[in-house]
Amino acid sequence: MAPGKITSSTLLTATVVFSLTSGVHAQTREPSHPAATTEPTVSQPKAPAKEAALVTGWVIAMDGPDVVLDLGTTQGLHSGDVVEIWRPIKLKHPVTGKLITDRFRTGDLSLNQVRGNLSWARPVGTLERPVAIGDIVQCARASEVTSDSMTPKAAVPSRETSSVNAAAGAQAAPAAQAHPRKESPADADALQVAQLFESMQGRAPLDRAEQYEQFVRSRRTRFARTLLEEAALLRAQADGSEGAIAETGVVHQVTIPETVRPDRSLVIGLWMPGKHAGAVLQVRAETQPSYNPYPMKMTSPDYYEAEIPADMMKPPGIALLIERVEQDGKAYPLSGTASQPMHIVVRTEPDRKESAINHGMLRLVTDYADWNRGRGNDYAWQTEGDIGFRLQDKGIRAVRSGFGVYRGKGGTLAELDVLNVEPRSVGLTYGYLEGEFGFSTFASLIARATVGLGENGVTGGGQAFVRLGNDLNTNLMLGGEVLGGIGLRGIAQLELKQFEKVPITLRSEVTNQPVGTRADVQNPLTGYATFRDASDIGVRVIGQVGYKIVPSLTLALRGSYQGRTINHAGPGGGAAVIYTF
Amino acid sequence: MLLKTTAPIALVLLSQASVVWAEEVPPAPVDLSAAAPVTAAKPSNLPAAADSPVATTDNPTLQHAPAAIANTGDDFVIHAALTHPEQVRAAILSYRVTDEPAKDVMFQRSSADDYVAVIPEADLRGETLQYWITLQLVNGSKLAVYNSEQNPHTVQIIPSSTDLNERALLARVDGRRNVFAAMGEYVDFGHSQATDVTAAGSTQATARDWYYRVEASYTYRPLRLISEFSLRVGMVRGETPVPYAATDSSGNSLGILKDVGLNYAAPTVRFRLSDIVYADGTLLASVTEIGFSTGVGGALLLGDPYGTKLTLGFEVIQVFGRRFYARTDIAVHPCVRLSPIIEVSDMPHANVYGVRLLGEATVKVAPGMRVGLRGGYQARKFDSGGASFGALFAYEL
Repeated sequence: MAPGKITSSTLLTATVVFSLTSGVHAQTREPSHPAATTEPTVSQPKAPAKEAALVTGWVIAMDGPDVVLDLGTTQGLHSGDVVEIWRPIKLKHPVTGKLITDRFRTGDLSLNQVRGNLSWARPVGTLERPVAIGDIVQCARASEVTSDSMTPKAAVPSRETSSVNAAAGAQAAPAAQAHPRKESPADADALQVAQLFESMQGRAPLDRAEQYEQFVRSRRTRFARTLLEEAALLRAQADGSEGAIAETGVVHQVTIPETVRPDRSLVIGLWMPGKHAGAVLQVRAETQPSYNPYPMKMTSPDYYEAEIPADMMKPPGIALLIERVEQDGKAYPLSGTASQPMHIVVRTEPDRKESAINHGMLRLVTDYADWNRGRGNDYAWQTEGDIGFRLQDKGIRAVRSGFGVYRGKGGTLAELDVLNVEPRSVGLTYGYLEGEFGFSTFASLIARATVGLGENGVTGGGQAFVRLGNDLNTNLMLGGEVLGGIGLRGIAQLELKQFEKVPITLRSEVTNQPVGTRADVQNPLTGYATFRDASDIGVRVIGQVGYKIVPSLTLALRGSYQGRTINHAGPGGGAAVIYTF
Repeated sequence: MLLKTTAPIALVLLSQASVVWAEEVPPAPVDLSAAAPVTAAKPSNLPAAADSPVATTDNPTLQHAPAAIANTGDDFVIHAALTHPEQVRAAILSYRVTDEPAKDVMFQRSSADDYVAVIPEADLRGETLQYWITLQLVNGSKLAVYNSEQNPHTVQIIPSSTDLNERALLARVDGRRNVFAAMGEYVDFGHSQATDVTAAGSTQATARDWYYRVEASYTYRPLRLISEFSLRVGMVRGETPVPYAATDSSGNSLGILKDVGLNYAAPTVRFRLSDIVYADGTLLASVTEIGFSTGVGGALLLGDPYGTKLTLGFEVIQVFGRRFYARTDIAVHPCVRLSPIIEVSDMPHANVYGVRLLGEATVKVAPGMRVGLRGGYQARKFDSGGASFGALFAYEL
């Protein structure tokens, strides 16, 4: 036939196929109750009197062994009919946060009793999932019904349309097209598309997308655009990240990045074919409750974009949604909603500026303790200096490093007070590294590692404390110390910071220092080695009072009293200089 | 005009005869005769453009999700679907990075998607990338299907975390990647003893125990996973009593050796393990008073690598000795750094370990220039020790 030669019969056929085409578009862009997939023919003003229909409904109740469906003779079903049962799945993507919906076929149901609006059905064989209320049923072997009888069902969906998204619609559309009406057999294009749709039943979205694209590539079809849109939609849904977002059923593609840089504008582009008045990007900071609108400018046919200004791009991020504006001037959600927006993380750029030491401290302490009434045979003199810094309350709170010198003499009570033996001299020159780890603002653990040179060579030691209370406020420290060649100490220390200019420290120690270890001592006169036991345990009580001459400089004096017996005891004293920066 | 020509074509395609006819006719003509070399598919800014003939006819179209970001480290791939490819000779993605001429890449078929255009990773520089898409049709004309050179789409380039960190650190060191440094120190341990045991009996010798070290180094800062690498060369000379295991031709012990020394070269690589954790690894080649010696070293740095930090390290050199140290660098001021150092060492070639307690202060005296002094005390015997002092200089370029 020559091109351009149009007869009345061909016009009628054209009308029918146009209806088919519009049905594809309608199914693609409008989410609907499954029942709404009961044929695009409802929009046909001049449809044939009878045609095949796909009847879809829901499982609405369980009644003993029977499943109650909201389908009946009104939809043209009869006892003995077998319907497919599908499980709808609607998930929020755990990574992208986007809504993903699809459905899976779980088996078939056989209708036992079919009434006007309800039916009893039972599973045929074993279902892949137990039947649940809300499952979708559809009659794979459609009954013939009049288009008139279908109209009310299609026009009055019984569920929210959002329960089945466009992707489901995209599935349903092929399914619907799987039952071609009485089109003209001469319209091979439409028939091939219908056959393509029918062959896609139950196929995975990506398979369907590939087949649609391959179909378009392999031949010239006027449904190319629709098929490609379907393919894009299916791919995007399968991908779950970028690309088309079909929550609203309107075909579109938009890329929402997960993470962007701060203080830089961001351009969001949108591909949205069809007749729309425009689109609006709504953006708010994550910390703000309301959105700022950014109308999207059309840059090319079907393409829109809007720029989010740099001053909006602040950590921790932004929330956004895109609304499409229809010809009637109303805005509808396109990607995201006001209550469930999409999110973009605005990351914090690495900051490698010079680390500021807000709480640095230099400390010098000297302490003398006489344990035996000034006899000079049992004493200890320790001097320490360190420098450190404080970071934060939680985690690594502070680090300090310093040096110390310990010198002393001592022995057992028997040696010193009864036998009048020469005391043993001990000493340690040491360095130490100390760290404080805060479990909370209130509790922390302090640990110190010490290495030094004693009379017998290199030795080591350590301290450990638990601090209750913040170090910047009044706190209590409980812990102990071991020093190689020197001995042990158990320490309880209360730091009073109730008076701003007068810090007070009260401390008690239980110790066998300074001669806290046993040793074989060689007598220089006789050359014989003599076993010498460690000092007896004694108790020290120390009080230290400081005064802040200036806020950063504190001078302190300390006094102490210690003894191993009530007679073997003596006073002590010391001083401290503390400088903070 | 396109719309007018399309409607009858559509009707004919839907006729009974249209299927056969459609196979026979050439592709639908595209009215681009009046188009400029590059024809915009539709004027922008008008919502009515959705009614564009291009958008609704059989003219080729290109559909893609406009990209918002491009990550460095990978090629930037743009996926697109193309309709009516039979009318398209080439789909061209043109892009431009900061202040550089525009480049073109072609959309090509991919096995996974319809069409892809790949912008090489090497071109992802700067803050943004701009692109637009043009179709070159078989009739020779061009059709702008997505934005244009005058109105391109802007994509934010997202550097990798390694790139960002490098930039931040480079800014931190004022863009100075090269460091030239020199140091010298004198170390006095007082007097030490050594016992030489021979067949004739044991001999005990006491000698001064001291050494000096001079060292020069060059460091380059890539500031990436390998944060730095450096080469140190140095020399140590000193005295310490060392029992000499070798014998002369008669089999007699050579006794106590006092002069010791080390000439060495040591490459070091510093790895960035995280923002606050770095690790050093060192290999050392040297000659001592005995002969060739090798050594290794390592350190763990916790904190700000160019500021306040804690360093725990060791160095082991055959013959010459071992040292283990803890160093705390505290930036008490942006220009002043104080560093207490605790070291346990049997260098140089000593019999026993000693303890060194040092303090070092460095001051930034000019941009990129730092000088420092160090001093301390060390001893191997409780009743004998000595002082140490030294100086250092570093220039960053």
